[in-house]
Amino acid sequence: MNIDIVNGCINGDERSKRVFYETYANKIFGVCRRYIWNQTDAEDVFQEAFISIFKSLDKFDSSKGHIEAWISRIAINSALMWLRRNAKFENNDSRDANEYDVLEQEDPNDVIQDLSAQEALTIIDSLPPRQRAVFNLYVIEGYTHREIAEIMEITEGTSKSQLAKARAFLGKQDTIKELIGE
Amino acid sequence: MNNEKDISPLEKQLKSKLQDLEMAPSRDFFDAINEKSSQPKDPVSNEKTTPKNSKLLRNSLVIGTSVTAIVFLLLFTQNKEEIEPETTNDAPAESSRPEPLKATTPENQELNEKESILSETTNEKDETVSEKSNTTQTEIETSTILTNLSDEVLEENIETSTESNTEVNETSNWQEYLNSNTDTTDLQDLFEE
Repeated sequence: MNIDIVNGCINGDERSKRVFYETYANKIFGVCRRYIWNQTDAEDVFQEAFISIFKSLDKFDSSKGHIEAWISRIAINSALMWLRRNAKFENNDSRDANEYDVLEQEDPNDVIQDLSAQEALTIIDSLPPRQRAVFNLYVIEGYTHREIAEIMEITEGTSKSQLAKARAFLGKQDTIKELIGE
Repeated sequence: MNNEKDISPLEKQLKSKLQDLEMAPSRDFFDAINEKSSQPKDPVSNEKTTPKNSKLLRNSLVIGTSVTAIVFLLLFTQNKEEIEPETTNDAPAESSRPEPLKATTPENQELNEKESILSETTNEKDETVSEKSNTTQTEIETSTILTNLSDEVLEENIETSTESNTEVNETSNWQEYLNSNTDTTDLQDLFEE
């Protein structure tokens, strides 16, 4: 991203903001959509995230990292805040507790080959919100359980158990096959 | 960053597909975003409720409630002082009462006697109330209500008696009056009660 565009956004130049929006809109919406499966809700979060980005762009320090990582972090925070605000982190997992006992994972490569982005999205969409958030943060973003605990305001134990539950679900090949229509 | 080795093959596939996921929103939200992001920050709404702020707010509420309570007590005390002289001093109450009926006829005399008995009873009540008023504040208030009620009943009775008495004075024949005016009978019933 051209530094002039960033400076233009900070100074309220509409043309610079338009360029910035068109450059990062799909990236930011992709992040929002990973955390929130509903299109309308994800678009609400997308707008909140973009407004936050424009308002705090003057605080961005390029010496501390790339701007894409910075805006992704804002989008993730916006999504987590929305989930918390709308009580999506409550224990609304309706699946039977016994389903989590299946922790033995068969080799997924035997079953699932060359997932498309849409199929990958469908798979994580099937997880309850809290498990999906922990899975996203741990597997996709690469955070540790301690970092996840701080970000989501939960304990490390909860983070670990949520990931274990998500993994147990993803380990059920029949379910995954059904999800992606194989 | 967590350990990449901790991630299963399926998770690696998911990560590679989702990490750089780009999706277009259903429409262009730029105008709405631009409008909202251009609005100046509201210093009041942007203030966070810190523990210090919430403590100040709580203290303000406590002080406000205390001041209200003190003002209420002062007003209550002032009102009480205004009420007490009326309840403890019987003289004005008595002086405001009409004089006993003049005994022009035997019936009038009878009415006057009954009224005087009623007055004495009320006076006794007043005295009792006055005695009680020296004990506790609660009793004072109760006594005040009782006294006022007694006075009101007495005044009503006296007014009725006075009206009746005037009518009796104007009627030369009492028996005729009784036959013609049933109100007097009612008045007698009232006194008997």
